[in-house]
Amino acid sequence: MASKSLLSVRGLTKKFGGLVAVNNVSFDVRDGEFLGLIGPNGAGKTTTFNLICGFLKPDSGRIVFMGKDITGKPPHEVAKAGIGRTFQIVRPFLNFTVLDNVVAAALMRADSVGEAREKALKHLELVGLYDKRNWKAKSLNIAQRKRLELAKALALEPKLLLLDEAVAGLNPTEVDTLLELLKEIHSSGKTILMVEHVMRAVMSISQRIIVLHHGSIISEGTPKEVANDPKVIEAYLGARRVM
Amino acid sequence: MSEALRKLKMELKGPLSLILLAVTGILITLPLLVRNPFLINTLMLSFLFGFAALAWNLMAGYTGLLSFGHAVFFGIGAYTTMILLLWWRITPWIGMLAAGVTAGLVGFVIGIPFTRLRSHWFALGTLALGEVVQIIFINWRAVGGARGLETPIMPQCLYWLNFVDPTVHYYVIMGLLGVELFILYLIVNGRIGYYLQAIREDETAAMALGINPFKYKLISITISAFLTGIAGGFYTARFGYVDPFSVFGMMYISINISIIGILGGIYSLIGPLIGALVFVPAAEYTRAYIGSHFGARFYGIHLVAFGIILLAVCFIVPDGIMGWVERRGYIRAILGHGEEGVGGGE
Repeated sequence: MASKSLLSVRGLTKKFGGLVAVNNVSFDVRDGEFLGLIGPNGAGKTTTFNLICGFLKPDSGRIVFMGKDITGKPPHEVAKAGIGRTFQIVRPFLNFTVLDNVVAAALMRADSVGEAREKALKHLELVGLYDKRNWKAKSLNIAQRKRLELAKALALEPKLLLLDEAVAGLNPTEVDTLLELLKEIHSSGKTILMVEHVMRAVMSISQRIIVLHHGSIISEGTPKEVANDPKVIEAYLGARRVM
Repeated sequence: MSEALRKLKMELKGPLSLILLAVTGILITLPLLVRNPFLINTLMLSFLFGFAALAWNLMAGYTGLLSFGHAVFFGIGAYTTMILLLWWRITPWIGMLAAGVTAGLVGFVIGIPFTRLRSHWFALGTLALGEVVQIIFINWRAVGGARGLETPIMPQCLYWLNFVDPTVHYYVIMGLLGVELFILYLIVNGRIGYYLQAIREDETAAMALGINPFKYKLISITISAFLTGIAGGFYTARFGYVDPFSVFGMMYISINISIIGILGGIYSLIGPLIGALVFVPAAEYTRAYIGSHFGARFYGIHLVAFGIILLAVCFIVPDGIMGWVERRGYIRAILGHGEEGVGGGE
C-alpha cells in the first residue's frame, strides 16, 4: 500500500450564507491510491471538489499538493500544479472536433501543437474515441462525452486525477465499461480521487472511501468497513443497504 | 507556429493554391484591365473594412468577445497617423505602424478591466466605451475637437502615400490584407488559437485545462486592437481627414465592422473578408444607383434598399456566408477534405 500523502486537506471550511457546506474537513489522498468520496445529496462532495480545484475559495483551511500550498489558487494554476479534473455535467467544447478538444488540453504539457496532437491521439486511443477523432464533440452521446472528458483530464498529465461523478447518467453497461477503463488508468500509476453518487461504482473500484454528511466526514475506511458503518447507513435514509 | 506553417503548406498544395492564385491574379490586374475608379475605390473600401472586420473577428468569432466599440481602436489609429503627419511630418508608412502600436497599447490597458466582463456585459461595455471615447475626442481641442484634423498639403507620391486616384491605395491595402491574413492564420492555428476558442466555447472548462482566460483574452484584445489601429491609420492615409464623428463613429465604424463580420461568418478566418466584399459594394452601389436616381424624391431610399438586402441575408444565411458555404460542404468539396468523416447527427 502506498503511503506518501499526495494531497492533504486540513480543516477545510466553506460557508454559503448561513449554510456550512463543508465543515472542518481534513483528509489525505495517498500517492497511488484510488480514493472514493461519497455522501448523500447535499453532503458537500462537489463543494469539496471545487475547493480543491480552485473553482471555489475556502473560508478557512489549507490544501497542500505535493508539498505546495495551493489553497485559493485559481483553477488554471491548480491544473498546472498537476491536478486534472472532470466535470459532473460534462463540458466538451461543442464546436471543436473530438481531437481538438484533447489537443487544447494536451497543449499545457506540450511545446507545440504538433506534439500536443500526438499526445492527444494516444489519449483518445486509450479512452476508445480514436475512430471518432474528427467528429464534432456535439455529435457525441453522453457516454462518449464522459470518455472525452476523461481524455482531456488525462492529457493534462496530472499526478492526481479528480473525477466528479464520472459515471452519473450512464446505463449499467456503460458504467461497467467506464469502470474497467478507470481501473486501467489507475493501474497505470495514476492517483485518483473519485466523487461519486453511484454506490455500485464507487464500492467496486475504490481502495478507500471517505463519507461526507452535512459537510463533515462521518466515516472513513475500506469499502466494506464503510458499508457496514451504522452512521453511514443512517445517513443514507431509506437506503438500508449501501451496496 | 511551425505546426501552423506546415498546415498552411499542406493546404496550399491542394486546389486552394490555384483558387488563391487566380483570385489574387484577377485582383492585381483589375485596375489595369478596367478603367473604373468607382469600382476600384469600392474594392479598396471593401478591403479596408475587411481588414478591420478580420481584426474584430479575432475577438468576436475566435474568443467570443463581441465588440461594438471597435471604432475606439480604429479612431485612435486614425488620429495617431494624422498627428504624426501633421505635427512631425512623419510618413504614413511609419504612421500606420505607430497607429497599430498605439491602438494595441490602448487595447491592452482597456482590456485589463474588460476581461472580467462576460458575454452580453462585455458587448454592452464596449458600446459604452465607444461613446465615451468619441465624446472625449469631440471635446479635445488640442486634437481638433469636433472639427477634426486635416493633413497638410503634400506632393502626390508614394512616400506620403498621397494620391487622388484610388489605385495605389487599393494595392497597399491589398498587401496589408495579405500580411494580416498570414499573421491571423498562424495565430488561430497555433496555441493561442486553441486557447482563445476554448475560452469562447466554455471559459470554466478552459480554466480546468490550465488556460488562464484573463491572459488570453487580453492577448486577443491587444492583437485585435493593434490590427484595427492599422486600418484606422490607412483611413487617414487615404482620406486625409479625420473627425470624431467619422473615425469614432458608432454606426459608421463599430456597427459596420460588426455587421460585416457577422454577415461573412464569424467562425471562419476569411468570413469577415467575404462579408466586406459583399456588404461594402452593396452599400456603395445602392447609394450610387438607387440613391442618385430616386434620392431627391425619397431621401434615404438607398438605405431602405440596403436594409432590405441585409434583412434578406439575415433570413437566408443566418450563420453567415461562410457558415452557409461550409454547411453546404462546398469548402470540403473544393479543398478535398472530404475523406475524413465529420460526425453524424447534429
